[in-house]
Amino acid sequence: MLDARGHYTIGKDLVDGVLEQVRRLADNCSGLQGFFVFHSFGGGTGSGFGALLMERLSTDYGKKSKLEFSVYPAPKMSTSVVEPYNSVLTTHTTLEHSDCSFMVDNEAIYDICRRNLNITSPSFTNLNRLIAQVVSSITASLRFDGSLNVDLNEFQTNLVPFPRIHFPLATYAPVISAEKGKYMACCLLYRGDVVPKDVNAAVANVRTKRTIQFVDWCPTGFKLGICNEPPALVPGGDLAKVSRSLCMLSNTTSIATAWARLDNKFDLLYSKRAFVHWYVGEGMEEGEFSEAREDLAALEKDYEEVGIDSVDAEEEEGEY
Amino acid sequence: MTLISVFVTSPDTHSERRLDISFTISQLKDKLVPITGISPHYQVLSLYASSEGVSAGSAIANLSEEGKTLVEYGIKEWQCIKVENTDPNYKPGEFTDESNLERFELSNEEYESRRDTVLTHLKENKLGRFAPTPTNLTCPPPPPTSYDSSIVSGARCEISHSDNGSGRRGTVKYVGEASIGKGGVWVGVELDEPTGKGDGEVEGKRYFTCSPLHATFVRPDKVTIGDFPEEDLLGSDADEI
Repeated sequence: MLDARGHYTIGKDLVDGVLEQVRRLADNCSGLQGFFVFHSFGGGTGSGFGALLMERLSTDYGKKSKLEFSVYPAPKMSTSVVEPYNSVLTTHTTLEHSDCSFMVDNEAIYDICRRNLNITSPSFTNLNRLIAQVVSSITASLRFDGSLNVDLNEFQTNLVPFPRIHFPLATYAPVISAEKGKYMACCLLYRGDVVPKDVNAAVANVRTKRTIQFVDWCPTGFKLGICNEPPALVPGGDLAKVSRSLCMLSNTTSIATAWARLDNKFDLLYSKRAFVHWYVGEGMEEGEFSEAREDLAALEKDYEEVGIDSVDAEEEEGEY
Repeated sequence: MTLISVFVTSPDTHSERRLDISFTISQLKDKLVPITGISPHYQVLSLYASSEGVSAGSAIANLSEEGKTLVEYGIKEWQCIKVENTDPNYKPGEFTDESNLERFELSNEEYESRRDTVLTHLKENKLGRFAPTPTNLTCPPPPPTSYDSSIVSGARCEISHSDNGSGRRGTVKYVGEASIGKGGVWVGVELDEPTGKGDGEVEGKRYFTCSPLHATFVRPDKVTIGDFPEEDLLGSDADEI
């Protein structure tokens, strides 16, 4: 439940065993591309240990890419009182080790399960199945052939214009709708009976409407991938069988609101130094709290900077 | 060890948890400390049929006997454990109410002095707003330099698409280059209703004169010339009386 427990006390004892297992798997790979790490921000499911593991993977495997799937806290209700601490601490520690972190919003997925899939009280099983579809789309290019097969590394290069700005949002059709914000990159991962001609036409259509605004300092546009294999169906799952699907990965400034919200909650706790003694008891120094919080503040400012136009564009001229 | 999935709800939290049903209430309370932030002796636990049941129905059981296990209380999957806080020092909402939040802010100087930020990246590589010639990907269109020849002083017109509602009518009083905003061509209109911005003077220069709030200046593409008689907004009501 505590980031510190996974990161320090208990984690320190476990991490060598885990790395040994990872080493065994890695040795069996003919061409190791990188790692996928799944964890939450909130604590109890990898915020502390996940960060430790990322650090150690960096040491052991150097520049091999590390991608994360991170569940970030629901805006309305926390899963634990120290969730804001854990989230800020893990984000800070992991920031320099992760190449790309796909953010999953549990509350949004709960809503999708309730509203779009008619599940009255969704459990983690329902949520996980939905997330699995997104993950599957992302890794499909590695597993199957396609008419426009784009390597995961290629997507990543396109998605991350600057190392710290590595938190793309994943949206999935036919279920999830797109987000607002200013775009740095946008990848469209199609699966199933989709032909390049139709995809290009769809993209050209979006471009002419200019509903999506890109920043001007990174060479972006849309990156497309088409994998011939349609999404598989989970027996007893909530999704219907479809012949095609689309997963959109977009690096946009709209994610900044998630950091701002998290930082607010952190400040509410930290201004009273609430529960800090638990972490100190697990071997953490109080200085790490303020260091992490400053880093997150800088991250917020990073997104602000991304949002600034070099030229005032799109601004509707008023009346005089 | 048998694990079941249940929900745990407390004043500041709600979560799905997997619990060992052989836990005693006392063991469970220890486990709930880092989740709920409540010390064991201030926790009051009760069991509900579901998460929805907490707000609506009454509890199935009060989990009050410290030595009794969850299985002895007959706990089932997807039931919900409610944790109440009896700490006299607890203030509801103290960790969630953001109305008196003192937010930590990084000053611009502190941000500028940090390495490895987007700002330093853009500065060092002369990108974005630091580019010698800003890229024109998102350049705004230049101000208009021409206008439809039907827009002439004295013509009746309607102004489409504005903040103050649509379809405001008036008479063209000025058309041509004007040093307003970014320059270019502007059309000055005397509106029938006082829904404009001024009296014909903009940024220190007078283009025409009318009553206050009856003048507005817009771009030519917002102006439609035609037979737009003054709308008698009150007249139609009067007829019905």
